[in-house]
Amino acid sequence: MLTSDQTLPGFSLKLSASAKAYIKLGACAGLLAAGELLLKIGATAQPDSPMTHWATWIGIVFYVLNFVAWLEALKTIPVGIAFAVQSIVQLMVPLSAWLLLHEQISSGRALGILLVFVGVFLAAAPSAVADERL
Amino acid sequence: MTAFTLFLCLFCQVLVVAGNLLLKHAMAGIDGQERSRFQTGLWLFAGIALFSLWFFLWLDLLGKYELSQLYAFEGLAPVFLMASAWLFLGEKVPLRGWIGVSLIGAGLMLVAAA
Repeated sequence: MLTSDQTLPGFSLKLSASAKAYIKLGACAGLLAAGELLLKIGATAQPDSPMTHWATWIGIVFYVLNFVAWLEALKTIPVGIAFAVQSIVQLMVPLSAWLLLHEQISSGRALGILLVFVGVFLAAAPSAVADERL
Repeated sequence: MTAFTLFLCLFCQVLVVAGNLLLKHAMAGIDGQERSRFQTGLWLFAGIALFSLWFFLWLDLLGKYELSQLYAFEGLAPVFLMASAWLFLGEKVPLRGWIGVSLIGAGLMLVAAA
């Protein structure tokens, strides 16, 4: 584990409190995305009884981990900004359909995805949490 | 989509927003002071109760209506949440936060509807 004052030889790596908070938030988004994907795999493989499929159960574990990481992130990040950043997860389906399945993406949808990314960049800029007690 | 369905879709977003406000209140609170385990547990429980209600209501709506119609409502949640966190929890939001969350809301609606 890296702590805020740990340094590597010839290269100093200091994580500010807000950087650590955003790493937690990134973990939340990753866990949520993975959880949704696993539930989808379980539900597609066993449409009538998804609970009998291993992927559904791992998906549920990911959801629980996401919840724990979310609570941890909320200790330091304003909830309005944390939730805004988490919106990226909702782009996972259209983006993966485009990247992995090479599906056509409509221009309206592409514009929407672009707006969300710009919005997250604006809302999550470190200055937004600069005056939070961390 | 009837007026009642519209109400339910909006109500679902209100549940998500209120649930997250309760979680934030449980973990940090307005004054930033440490809470007792009992208090944290109580607020967490209230938040989880709202999320449970949201889950079953949303699941029911998902079974009845088109995804693109329903997901368009999810664009409202980040905007509602930032506004209510500012109003009820006293979170400071800089101008770029408001601009950012408006773009996110508009973007999510476009992605759902387009």
